[in-house]
Amino acid sequence: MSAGGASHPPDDARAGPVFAALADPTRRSLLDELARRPSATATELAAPLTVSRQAVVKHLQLLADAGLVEAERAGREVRFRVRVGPLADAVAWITEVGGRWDDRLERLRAQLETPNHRRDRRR
Amino acid sequence: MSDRPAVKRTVRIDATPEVVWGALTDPLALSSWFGGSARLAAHPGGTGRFVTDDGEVRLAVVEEIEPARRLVFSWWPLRRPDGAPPRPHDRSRVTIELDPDEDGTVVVVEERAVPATTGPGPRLSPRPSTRLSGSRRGPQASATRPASVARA
Repeated sequence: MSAGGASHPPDDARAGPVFAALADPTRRSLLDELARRPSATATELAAPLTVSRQAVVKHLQLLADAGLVEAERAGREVRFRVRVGPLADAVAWITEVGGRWDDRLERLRAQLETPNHRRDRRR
Repeated sequence: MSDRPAVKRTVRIDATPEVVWGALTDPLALSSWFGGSARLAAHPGGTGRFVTDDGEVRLAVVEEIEPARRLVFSWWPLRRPDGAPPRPHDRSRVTIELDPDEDGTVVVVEERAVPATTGPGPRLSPRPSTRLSGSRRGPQASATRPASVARA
């Protein structure tokens, strides 16, 4: 669904793992969440989700393998962040912006297709 | 500019283009599906302001408008969610096209990042005086400025 030439020739080899990594909604929301902050631990990321910390760690590993996030050990904890780079940057943008339009357009459709819409419009 | 990231979404809505257009231009209807508080002056050069529930404040300016058919605006964050400072690549252009489809409308939305240096937007680095990045206590400082900033 997403358009736009976010790919650069040197990154083409990574496109497969990137799209595989992004195929999962949990990983997309993790990436979206990570894009909003400097870094986070798996525990912090798991807190608002319905999945376990262990599952989050696996998802983060997959995102790291695709080059989208990087892990950094800080004392006893491992902190994850969105990997800086043209592709990861573009993917983070696409994930965040696309996810917002998905939500908005779903609400727009629900708003205009509800039976009481016409009654509301008359007020 | 072909290397700027973009997203495109298509959705069919069971309402006429005129009704869909009303949901884009009426502040109450717009806020309802956009979330938070939203308004956009529906004329070329018209300004807009979007404040979402997660604390993001965006300003917008209308670039093209063709009632019930096409709306193009560019927008940029004055404040990102949770008070984070704006990033240079957060400025983007949104194109919304409405195509009649029997009794309904096919809505095509495209949002494309644009270089921070073009267009009538404000500087994107946080103003030193508003302390956008440090404190969560000062949303009003930036929220009261959109009209003057958008005109600048």
